[in-house]
Amino acid sequence: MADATPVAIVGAGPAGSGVAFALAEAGVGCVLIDDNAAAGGQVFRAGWQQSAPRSAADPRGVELRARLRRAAATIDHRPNSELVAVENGMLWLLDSDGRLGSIRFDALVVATGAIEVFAPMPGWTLPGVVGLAGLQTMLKSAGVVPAAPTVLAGAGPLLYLVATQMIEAGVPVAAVVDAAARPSPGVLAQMAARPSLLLAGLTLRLRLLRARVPVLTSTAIVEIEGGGHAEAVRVAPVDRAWRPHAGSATRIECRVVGLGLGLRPNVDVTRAAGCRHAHDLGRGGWHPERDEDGVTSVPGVFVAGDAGGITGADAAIADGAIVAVAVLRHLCQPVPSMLASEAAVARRLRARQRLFAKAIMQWSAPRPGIFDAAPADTMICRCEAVTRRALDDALAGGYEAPGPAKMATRIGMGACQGRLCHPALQAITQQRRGIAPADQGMPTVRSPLRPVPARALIAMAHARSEP
Amino acid sequence: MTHPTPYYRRLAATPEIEIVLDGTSLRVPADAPVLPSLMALGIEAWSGRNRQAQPLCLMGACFQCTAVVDGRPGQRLCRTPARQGMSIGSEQADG
Ligand code: FES
Repeated sequence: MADATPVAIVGAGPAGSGVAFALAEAGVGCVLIDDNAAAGGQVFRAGWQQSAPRSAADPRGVELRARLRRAAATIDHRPNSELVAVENGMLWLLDSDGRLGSIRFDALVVATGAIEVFAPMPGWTLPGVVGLAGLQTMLKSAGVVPAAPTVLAGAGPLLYLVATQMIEAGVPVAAVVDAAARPSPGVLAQMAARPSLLLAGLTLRLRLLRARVPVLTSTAIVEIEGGGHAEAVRVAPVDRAWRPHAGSATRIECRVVGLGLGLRPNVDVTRAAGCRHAHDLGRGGWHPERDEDGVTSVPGVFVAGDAGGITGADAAIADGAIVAVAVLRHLCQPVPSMLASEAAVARRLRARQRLFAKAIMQWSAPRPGIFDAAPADTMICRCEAVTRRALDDALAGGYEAPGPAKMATRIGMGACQGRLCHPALQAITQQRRGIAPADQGMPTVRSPLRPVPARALIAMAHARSEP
Repeated sequence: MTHPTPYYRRLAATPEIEIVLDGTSLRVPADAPVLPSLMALGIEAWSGRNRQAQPLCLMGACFQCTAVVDGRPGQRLCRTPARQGMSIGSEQADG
């Protein structure tokens, strides 16, 4: 027997929790599904609090979790639960003990946040190479940080935030390597739409300066060296398309390398739900089409926060009230006047947040050259061990788009389902075949979204065949 | 693979529990995801199904960190909270 709920929300970060709280105010219950042990998402990640650096512990996360506990009667929070499939008003969940459950819903809110973008490079498969957001997660959830010289590389605001958090935690940061150029005056002027965030950004920069950490802009790692573990990086200046200049590399010793080229929407669930998607680098690449209210192309499916296009944590918070109103309308439920005015305020705030996010993207959205720079032996798809050479051969063989390239090489068909390699596959296809990402189309998604035990699959099939 | 001196460290000592990794018992902090704690013990790679398993995203997206947890294969260690007596094994003994 499936549980039933008026609203199922996937993701208990600021956006998903925000929608849940707003619905609770209107007296509408929901199931709030999250694959983390505690609510808060990446930005308000919980866990390890003792003597964590100030910048890593956000009081709003503590408040969010307290509020969730108080609302336990209306909000059915399901931590450690992963969505494995969604179809026809029904979704399937796997809990941390491998038990499968199903829930019927009238409305689905997708608030799955963002994932990090990586560019493959020689040596990125060595132990010691981790994501920037990953370093932040280790700090926030376990209080574990690098103890050896660390190079942080990539682009975007997270690079500077993580660098500062690491330095405050005593990590020996050998260098910060930023592929983006310094923000232009024009971009800085746009960022002034949110003076407090611009100031916060400049403060981070100042802290790095004071800590005497070298910050190399318009620079990228061209190779990570090491035997069984990362031992050094070689960095080189990049051109306007972020293609590194060969032959001018500098070597920096390190044992830990943090990589991340910014964030892109986590579209696992909107894809599975059949929503129409569009490609826009200004929103982090592929994202579900959504209107101002978070309404997607599929009736009854809504999207909130970064999952609908990268706009940051504050815009995700604003989405809480806005999307909740849209959900209530869909359910033909009255919208309390408090909530309506909250949503109106949120809309005005969100307009500025979007301007700021746009400026951030103009400054730091990854350019294709950094993906295309990977030489022949570089592992592009780690799951299925597909090298750049194999991909180039597939593309040269007349394969016009990632779909056929996948069939030829199994690229993107491994355990991660292309989450890791897709930005690179897309950029390389664009560079080699001249096909724009929008024309390449979005990779299809396989159900289940997560590897599921066979007995769970059987249970799913069984339930489907029930009337 | 372990290093004599781990490249990661815990910022503070917290209450520990015991887990078993490929037959060896280890003490790790309770109530935290198990992977960062293993990294702080110098364990940064182990054998996986068709490649070396290791941490990368630490957010559950990349599936590079899978192992067998209490008999269930394909578990991402970055998403696995440490529990007293939990047993973790590589997905393939040689790899
Ligand atoms: S490190 Fe990426 S899924 Fe665990």
